[in-house]
Amino acid sequence: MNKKIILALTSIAMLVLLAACGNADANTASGTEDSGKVTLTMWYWGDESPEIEAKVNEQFDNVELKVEKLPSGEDFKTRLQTTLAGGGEGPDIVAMDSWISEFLPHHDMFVDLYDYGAEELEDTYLEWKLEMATAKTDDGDKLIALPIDIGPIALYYRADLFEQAGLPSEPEDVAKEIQNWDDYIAASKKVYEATGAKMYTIDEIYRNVIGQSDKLYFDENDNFIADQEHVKNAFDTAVRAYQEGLTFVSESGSEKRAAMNTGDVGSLIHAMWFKGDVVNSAPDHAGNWRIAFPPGGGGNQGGSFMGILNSSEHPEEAYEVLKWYLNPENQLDNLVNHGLFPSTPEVYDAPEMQVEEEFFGGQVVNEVFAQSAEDVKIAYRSPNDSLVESSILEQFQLIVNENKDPEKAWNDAIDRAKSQLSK
Amino acid sequence: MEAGRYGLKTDKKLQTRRAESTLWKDIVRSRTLYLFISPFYLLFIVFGIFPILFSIFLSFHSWDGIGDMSFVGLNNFTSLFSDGVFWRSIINTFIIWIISVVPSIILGLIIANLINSPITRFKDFFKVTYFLPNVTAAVAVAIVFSSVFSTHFGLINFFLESIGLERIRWLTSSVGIKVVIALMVIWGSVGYNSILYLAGLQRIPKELYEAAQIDGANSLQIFTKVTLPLMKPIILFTVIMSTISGLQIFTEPQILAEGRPIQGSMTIVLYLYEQSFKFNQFGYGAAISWVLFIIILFFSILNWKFFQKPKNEGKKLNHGS
Repeated sequence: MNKKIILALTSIAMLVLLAACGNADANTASGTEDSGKVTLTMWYWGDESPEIEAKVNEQFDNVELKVEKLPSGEDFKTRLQTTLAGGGEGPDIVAMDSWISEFLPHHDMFVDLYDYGAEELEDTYLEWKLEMATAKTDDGDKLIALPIDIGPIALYYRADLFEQAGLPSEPEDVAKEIQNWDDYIAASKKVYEATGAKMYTIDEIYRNVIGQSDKLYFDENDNFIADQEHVKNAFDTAVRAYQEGLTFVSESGSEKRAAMNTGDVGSLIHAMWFKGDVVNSAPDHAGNWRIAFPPGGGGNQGGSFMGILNSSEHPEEAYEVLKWYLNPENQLDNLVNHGLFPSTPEVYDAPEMQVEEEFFGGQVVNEVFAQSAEDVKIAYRSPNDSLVESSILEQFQLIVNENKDPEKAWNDAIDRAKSQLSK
Repeated sequence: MEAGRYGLKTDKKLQTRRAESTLWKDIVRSRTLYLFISPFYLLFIVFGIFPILFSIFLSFHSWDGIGDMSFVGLNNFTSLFSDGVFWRSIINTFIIWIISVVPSIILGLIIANLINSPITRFKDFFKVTYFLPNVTAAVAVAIVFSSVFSTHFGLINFFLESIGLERIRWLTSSVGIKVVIALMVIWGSVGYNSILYLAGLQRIPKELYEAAQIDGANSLQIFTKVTLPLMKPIILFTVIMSTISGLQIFTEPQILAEGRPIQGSMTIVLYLYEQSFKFNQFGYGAAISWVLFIIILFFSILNWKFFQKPKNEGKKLNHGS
């Protein structure tokens, strides 16, 4: 008797355990509810997750959206990767960061949005941004995601320090005077001599310059082109700024932020989403910072996307949700409420964009970012970009900290990138 | 063996078959008990055995984590041996290991002796406070360390400057970052070591000390001739444990370097992580993990052999007296 009870209890315990494992699946699997509503799940990382859920559910009578907020960054990417590796049973909709290029080779795991009529949206979004989510295949282009926000870059600078150095201080004048990187380095020299304030770090300068190029590390046939002039030029520009003693030497994020308040950094080029960092990091200089069109042309760093997994049972509804949630009007809302810069140029003239910001001396900074966004060049991105880029960034570390000869560093970076790729 | 005892003249095959059948019968008879212990084994198979076996399989393939795997034979291993960064990561790991383990063991012994000394009051208080760093989350500690040691605005550099010395690039120079990582490891492990040593010290019979004192040994002699030999098994244990954890060091360099590639702080596991999860080269990552396993195995055996010998000498000495 006793044994039977024990057996029964054990089997119940096992069942509970198994059911607990299975339950998670039941939740994420989409199904049609009694009310005729379609349940969709979304993976997202931002704080605005509950807001997305509320907005979409209010808009759509036939959709019940559940947004799961997950940790951002590498964790998020790894989770998506393991989900796809495990057969692709995951959420219906998934947000992706600029690492989207790593998923382009697996475009068949995603719904091709062109199948659902995404051509109609081609004029809605910035061309270069859509390009980042487009997989080139033998049967034509496939669009695996729609754009959320972008990260147009601009020159953040301290107007008071520029003035002290005898440079123009109004954004238009600065943009006119400092048109290319030679101008910027020369101006930074003046600022440094007059005030002791420097440019940003060597690796950030490298990222700025390479981000302005219309080519990256591979050409469209995936040939390695990182050893060519455009990359070498970015490398040399960063090294030159460093050798002139104009770069702030630190790799720690908190130190780089502190330097904006201490006056160690007088100007930097960064994405729009970095604005909050500048505002929060340099409270002592509120009103003195300005934003100008960057030397060397517009560029982009970061920004994100939303795609639909092929495993979704309701791709049509999911597409409708994407199309609506990422429409220009909602993107404008996202800018106002969450500081996400729209990827839809038609709202760049909207009154909501024309806010004067106290921290930047009453300047309408969005104008500048919009100008930069429309000037971004389309560069082919490869899944191996980050591999090559880190080989190069690694060498800056050695140049700065161990006085490595830049020419040797450049050669080592290229050798390292090649040997990494040969595996 | 069982069959042999009954003097049965059966061939070996039959014997093993019989042993198997009795084993199976035993299992069936005690099935409830096996059912009770099964959850652990089931979970262990899923989360322990399977990943281990899969990583062996993976190390012979090239895989980006999602697409198809392609068999590459020993390619991952051969390119590993010509990979300069991998070798540097091994050297870095060993340097960090040595400059953290040696001080940690010496400090641990000193602290254990201090707590054990009869004149120390509030022993429990010291035990708790020295052990506390060991249970503090490494990530939190690393964040504190990184701001204390930061180049421009860190406490340590402020102090160095105020006494007229130069600022040191603790977190970015190859040497500096190793020192900071080692300090973090020491800070976290001294308490653990000293608690273990304390237990060892309390196990040494008082008579041995009394006898040594009667024979006229001074305190240094007592320490080296009585305490140390008897503490050897525990020291061996801490050395092996710190070899295993030291060669797998990851959190400290990862947080202190904020995920950037810093060559001075690239450890084996950090390299494994970077190759697998940052660059999606999972086959290569698996190959690194197996080389790491072999290194750890080798050093554990070496440690064991090395500490085995003096123990025998101790026995001989005992015999002589």
